[in-house]
Amino acid sequence: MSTHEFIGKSVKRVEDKRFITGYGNYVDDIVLPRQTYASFVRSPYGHAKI
Amino acid sequence: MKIQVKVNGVNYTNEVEPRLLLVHYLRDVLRLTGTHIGCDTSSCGACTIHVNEKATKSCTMLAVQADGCEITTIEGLANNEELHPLQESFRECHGLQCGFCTPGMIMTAADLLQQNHDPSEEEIRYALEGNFCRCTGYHNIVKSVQYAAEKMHTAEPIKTEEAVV
Repeated sequence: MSTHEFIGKSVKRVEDKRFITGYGNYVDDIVLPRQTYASFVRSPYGHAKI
Repeated sequence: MKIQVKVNGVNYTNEVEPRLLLVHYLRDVLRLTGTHIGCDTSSCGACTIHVNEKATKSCTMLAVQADGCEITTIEGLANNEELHPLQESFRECHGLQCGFCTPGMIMTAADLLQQNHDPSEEEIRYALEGNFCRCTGYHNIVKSVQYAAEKMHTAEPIKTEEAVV
């Protein structure tokens, strides 16, 4: 019996199952009650007065 | 407008805005969030699904255009607990890192393998040209598709032999 369970071996990632089956749950997949959204509008002018 | 679609084997009837994109219908109405929106301009392929068995970018299509169609998303690709060979191979060959592009990659590759059981590396790369991955550099994705093709290929003759006997 080897004491080195992981050394020298290819180890499967535990998180892959949900990614390959479509249950990754990314930020955009989350819906919470009273959820709000933010969007950033950047100025096209450098060093301009607001 | 009223639409009727079959998604992953389940029939749905919904009232939708004529401007609603199919990807938003799947994600927001049916809450099938495995289909991702990467670019919203049909460039990245993260939203790829099957419409009547054909790989289609669902952000390029209106929900009303899918009326009467049969749709398969990444959530419906596995046969209950049994993963599709492509799902297995992506895991086996480390074909994903962050996993965002993976549903689209797998759906496009599944369509390819339906049409071409033994694609060359060049044919795989050509088929996946509409799918972007920003993590892997594509090498392991191509390997995953080759691995799945091989597995599906070797699985088939056994079935036919059984059928003959």
